[in-house]
Amino acid sequence: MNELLPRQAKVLKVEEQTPIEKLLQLDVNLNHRPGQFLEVSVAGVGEAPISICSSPTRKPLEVCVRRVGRVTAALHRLSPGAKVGIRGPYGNGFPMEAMKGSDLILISGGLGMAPLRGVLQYALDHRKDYGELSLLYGIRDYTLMLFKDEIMKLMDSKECRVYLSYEKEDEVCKNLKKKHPECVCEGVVTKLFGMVDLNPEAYAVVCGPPVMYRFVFKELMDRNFPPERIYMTMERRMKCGIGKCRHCVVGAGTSMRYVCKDGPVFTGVDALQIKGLIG
Amino acid sequence: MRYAKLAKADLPKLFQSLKSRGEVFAPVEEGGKVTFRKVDDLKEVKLEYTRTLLPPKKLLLPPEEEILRYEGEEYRESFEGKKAVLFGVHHCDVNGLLKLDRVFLDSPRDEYYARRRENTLVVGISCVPDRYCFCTSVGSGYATTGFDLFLHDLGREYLVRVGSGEGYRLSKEGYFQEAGKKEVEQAARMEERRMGKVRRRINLAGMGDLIETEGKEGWEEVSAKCLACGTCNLVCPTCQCYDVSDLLTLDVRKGSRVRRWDSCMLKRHALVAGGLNFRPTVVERTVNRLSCKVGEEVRCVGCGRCTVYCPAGIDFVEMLSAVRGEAR
Amino acid sequence: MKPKVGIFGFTGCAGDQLMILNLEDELLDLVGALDLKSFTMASSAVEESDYDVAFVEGSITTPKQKQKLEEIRKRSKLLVAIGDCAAWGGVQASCNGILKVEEKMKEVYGSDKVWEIYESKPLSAYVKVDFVLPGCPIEKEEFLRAAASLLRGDLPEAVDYPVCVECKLRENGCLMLEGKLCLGPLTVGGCRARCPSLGVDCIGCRGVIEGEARIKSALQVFREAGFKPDYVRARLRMFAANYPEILEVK
Repeated sequence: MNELLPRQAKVLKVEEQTPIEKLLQLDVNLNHRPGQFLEVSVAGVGEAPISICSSPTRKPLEVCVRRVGRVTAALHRLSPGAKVGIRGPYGNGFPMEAMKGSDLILISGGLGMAPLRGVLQYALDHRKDYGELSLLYGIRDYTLMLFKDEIMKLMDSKECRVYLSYEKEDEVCKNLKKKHPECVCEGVVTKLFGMVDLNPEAYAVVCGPPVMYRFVFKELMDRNFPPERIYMTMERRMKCGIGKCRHCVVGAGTSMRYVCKDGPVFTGVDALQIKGLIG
Repeated sequence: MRYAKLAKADLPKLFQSLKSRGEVFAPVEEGGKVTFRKVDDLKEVKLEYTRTLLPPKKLLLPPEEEILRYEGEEYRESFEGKKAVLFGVHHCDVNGLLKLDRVFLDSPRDEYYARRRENTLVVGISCVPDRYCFCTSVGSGYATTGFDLFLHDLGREYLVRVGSGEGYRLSKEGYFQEAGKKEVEQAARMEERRMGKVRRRINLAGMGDLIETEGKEGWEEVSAKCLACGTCNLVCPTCQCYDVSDLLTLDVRKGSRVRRWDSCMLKRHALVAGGLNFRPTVVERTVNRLSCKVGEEVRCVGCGRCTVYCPAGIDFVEMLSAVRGEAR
Repeated sequence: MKPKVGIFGFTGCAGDQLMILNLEDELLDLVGALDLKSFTMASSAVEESDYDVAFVEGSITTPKQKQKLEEIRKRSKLLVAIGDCAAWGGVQASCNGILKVEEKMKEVYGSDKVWEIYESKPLSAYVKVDFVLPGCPIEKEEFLRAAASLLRGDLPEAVDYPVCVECKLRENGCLMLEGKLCLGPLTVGGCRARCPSLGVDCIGCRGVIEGEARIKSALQVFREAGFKPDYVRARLRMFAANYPEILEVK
């Protein structure tokens, strides 16, 4: 099999999530793990790594695409019925099996919510297998919040504790804070740590913009959270997805890893070992 | 290993036999440089040479190749399954191919490389080292596998080491003779003399850790003259990086996907959409390059190309000595 | 509906428009794929129109040009600078910062008040440029490929690696190592190392790689190779004088 040859997938539905992000449903059957990614092609434009944002327990498969470059701009132009090329799923994904029986603390910022949504859905669909679920989500403002309906619904449920931080106050955020002062605050996502009881037996699952990791990691380490129980998923230039083209390589000296093949999910121990992994 | 003997006078016979197995690519001297080119006659071949500009990698992983064609969103693979022979490959370059094998044949394998590798016979030949060679201190001074035949010059004849089934079939052709301990001893002495000419040494003890702990100032110093032109990577027999582009024709439906050798010293290597560059300057890129070559594991085969062809005259070995704290 | 395209020229030799006219094999395909509203060089007919893509050649040297450029920008979804003059200000910018335009005018016309003119600047000094096709002249293949993407509404992929890359891929020896002052390491590739492949050192006609070219390192390497600073400066300025780091070279 030629691993570089994309197969076709039909776009089933396109939904605008924010002014810069769209949710695409794809007609493919993959047995993926939350946290894995696809190489998505638009012929004539190119190929880009896009993380899967749905759980394998939910169909159809969904990807959340932020318009940041040529390929993603082309993806944003697509309507239902259009076809894209896909390869994958690639990468290790989150160890959902290994985390069974434990509490999960999901920590995300911005578009980082996309891969964590897969983890969240998976845990909700296997609710008895996991302990308490918490979601810490940092957004810039309400317009840039992903999966609004789903998260708002969770906020009012007992399935998962939702903590929300926002950097720019708008009407919605203001009202949310008024309604849930114990779990909504202004500031960056690390501000939410003050509201959460960090059980060191839990697993922390982290995804956010590159600058976020260092601060979240420090916060967790300062609270004596064991680095072995931190899982972080990284963004790099995963051009081939299969550990050949080497663009996504991280680290220096003796410790180097492919984000596409050895990651994109790394542990807190990796963060201590691999230079530059979290900046 | 099986051994055989080939009189130099019979080399044309081997060459003819190789030609019947596929297009033969061999070192040719042209305009002051030696390059692997398609040859029809043994007379064109430069049997004794130091190094080619591009490594023989170029025939297994072409500098630029079309990997796919598309029409609408339907993709087809592009592949020509031509048989080929790489004739006259040096020890260091055979070892370079082995390092590439580990990347491209590792699961999931790269079909383009894998099929070419399967379709290509490799015939090694001993080399003529110069002062830039340091293969012996990176364990690449001698090829023990990765070839079909390897020719060791014994003066009037070659000791031929046979490294594969196809090599075995070739060595059973009438013009080969039996070889034994005597010829192997002769070849070993010749190889000892040859390797003795590789005077350059590189000390890699603890190199990965030294690279990891070198400070920014040190890196700025060793890369001060670097022009970030990518030459060091593009001439390297073990650099694997490639970039991919889609080409579109004017009908805006059809086109091809091509890949091209890339360099980790270039801007886009670690640049992600949105503009964040994880290795923004030559400092981070140099750390990455050296880590890749000699930090994590020894991928360098000591061929000297990156030093010889660097337009800024940056010396790979001296760079690493500087990281070691020598010659400062 | 076919995309509406305009091709315009300002100060320069019109070599890039000529390059487009010289496409021969592909010209009919190209013209068939788009709705050509204006092509300064090919026809004097200019339609007042909006454009999906405007290709603009030449540098901006007069207030009238600036005004027209701003008008084109307003009417165009995508504005593409073609050629070195549009991309960098061209050869006519090579004295920028050294010789004032008034002095130049006086030297040529005997008076510094003939016209109001500007120091030659790239289009980007006045309007937003969506994409740059560099070169003196532009490369045919690159133009066609970019045109295909633009016609579909995609921004083309910009070349951001130096000439050396394509030079090495073609297995050329290095001209700098042969003692020539080759600007390949600083210059945007995409020309398939046209000149170095013929043994001619790169003159930098595709401009420097923005934010990337290692000018200081190059100056050191050229100095150590024995080239005189004046010569190096003149070479660097020829096609990219408006690049801040080159403008500063003494």
